[in-house]
Amino acid sequence: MTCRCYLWLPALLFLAANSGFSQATNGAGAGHAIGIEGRIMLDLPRPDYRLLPLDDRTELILRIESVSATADHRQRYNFSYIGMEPGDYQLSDYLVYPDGSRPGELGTFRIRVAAVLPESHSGQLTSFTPGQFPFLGGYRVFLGSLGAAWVGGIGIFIWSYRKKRLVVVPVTRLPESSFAQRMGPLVEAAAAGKLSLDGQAQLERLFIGFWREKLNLPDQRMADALVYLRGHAQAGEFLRALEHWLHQRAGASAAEVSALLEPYRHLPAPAALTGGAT
Amino acid sequence: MKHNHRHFVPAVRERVAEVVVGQDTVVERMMIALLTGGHLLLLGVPGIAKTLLVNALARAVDLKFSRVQFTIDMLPSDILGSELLDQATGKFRTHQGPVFTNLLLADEINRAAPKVQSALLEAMQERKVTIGNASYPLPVPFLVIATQNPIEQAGTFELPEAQLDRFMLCHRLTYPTAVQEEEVLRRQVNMGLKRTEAGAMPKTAFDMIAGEPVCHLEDLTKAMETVQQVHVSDVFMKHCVEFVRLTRTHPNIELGCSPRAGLSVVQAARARAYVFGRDYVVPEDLFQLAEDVVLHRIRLSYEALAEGRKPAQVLEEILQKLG
Repeated sequence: MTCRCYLWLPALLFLAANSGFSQATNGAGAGHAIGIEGRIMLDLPRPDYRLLPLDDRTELILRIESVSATADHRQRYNFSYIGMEPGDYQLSDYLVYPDGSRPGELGTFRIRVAAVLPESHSGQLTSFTPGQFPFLGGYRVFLGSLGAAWVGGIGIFIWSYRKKRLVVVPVTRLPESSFAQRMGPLVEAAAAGKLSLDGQAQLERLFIGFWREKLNLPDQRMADALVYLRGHAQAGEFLRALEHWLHQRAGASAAEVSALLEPYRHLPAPAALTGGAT
Repeated sequence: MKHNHRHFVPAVRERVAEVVVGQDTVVERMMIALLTGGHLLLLGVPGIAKTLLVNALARAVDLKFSRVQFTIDMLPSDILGSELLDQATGKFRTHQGPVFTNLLLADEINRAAPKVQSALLEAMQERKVTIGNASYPLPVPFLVIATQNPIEQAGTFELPEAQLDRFMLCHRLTYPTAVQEEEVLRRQVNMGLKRTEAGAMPKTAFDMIAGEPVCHLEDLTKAMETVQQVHVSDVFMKHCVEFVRLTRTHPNIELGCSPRAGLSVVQAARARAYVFGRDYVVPEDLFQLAEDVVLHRIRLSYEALAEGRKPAQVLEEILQKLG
């Protein structure tokens, strides 16, 4: 539909321009399309006609292109004009004498400005029928979907990373075994002469921990705590005896080991011990 | 002149104490380094007698001593030496650098460029130096005592963990106690003037180091032999292995101790036992030396650092767990 309009509109304008030319040639007020410049050549009795001043509501713009004398002592005026509204315009309404008075000798000569569209035209250039909103597709649906996905995505994100409700599972935690409890089997094995090297190392570390706990030194640096322990009467004596057994080249006899470990056998709790090795 | 290695430790301690007040632990660590041939890194702010200590130790044991102040524009040849063209003979001759000594004090080692650090650390590891096409063994014993300033890190090149691992011990020096500092001032006040033909100037602690050594290389060698005879029980080795293993499995530690750290613990513990007059090592040696042997060899994880944890805290946790 739009393509057809583009085809016939230039043809119509071309025909209108040609008709204006013939009107000017004949000096008749034949039709001429609005917005298209037309020309009229007229022989008038006087050479001093002037044009009325124009304003922004003037429906016909008229200009005097040239004035020349004819052989019969008349004046040939060459006019050009552009019509803004279709209709007939009387020439005498647009010309005045130099003193501003209206000329009466011009009669009823009219300039006709024809409409481009026929009288019966409704003014609608292209047919337009508003379509129905598509169920799927279209820009609004696309934006709506995008918004819904964004909001939904945030919801899913928040839901996924929500703080999980803590499920309290009753755990039966065994009380941490004391040094005395942990030392027990190792001491027994050592007294029986069946303690492995790993066990001996573990037992020595447990004894150090035991004495640190007994003398309330758990927060002290290990290096400082050991210096303190070695300086302590009971702990120092015991640790030196332990070192004699575990670290000296000669080591200790089974009887010495048994005597050394005797106070630590069957310890119910660390507090029950009252003294070190003697 | 004394030639009794049994008196080696007290004699050296006594001589050092003549010029340095306090710092017993540093002297002990220097003795351990000397007796084991391990290298020592001292971390401490300026002015706490690091250089004086090393100087006094070198003079006390009659060791050849060199001091190199590391700077950013040093070249490896400034330490190792270079080949020079002898114009008289028209041949190249080798100029041996300050590394050819018994005791090398590398002052502020982290101020030198990495290639200089590497050159020195290679010499420390291999105990020989290659100049041109020839390799030259370093004197025996050869010991490097390097210092680092823990502050003023601008313009320094931090030693990477792999190179720090070459140092058997890394000891952090602390300020002297109030009583010790008072004694330092008192000694300085009574030092008097050093007169020369040209004039005079106030004496410093360096002038107070006695010229005559209390021991000789022969005594040191015998002492080193005795250290090698110090008994290391299987139980002690179990403690060492467990300790090193704990540094590798602690959640806050990204890089734990290498096997070399375990070797260093045993070696240093032997020397410490000798210094304290024992012929066997005890767990106390391990606990006392742990910080100096391990702290410069471990690296905390990023998460632990972000939580504000310090390597010393983590190490203490490990020691508490061990003991």
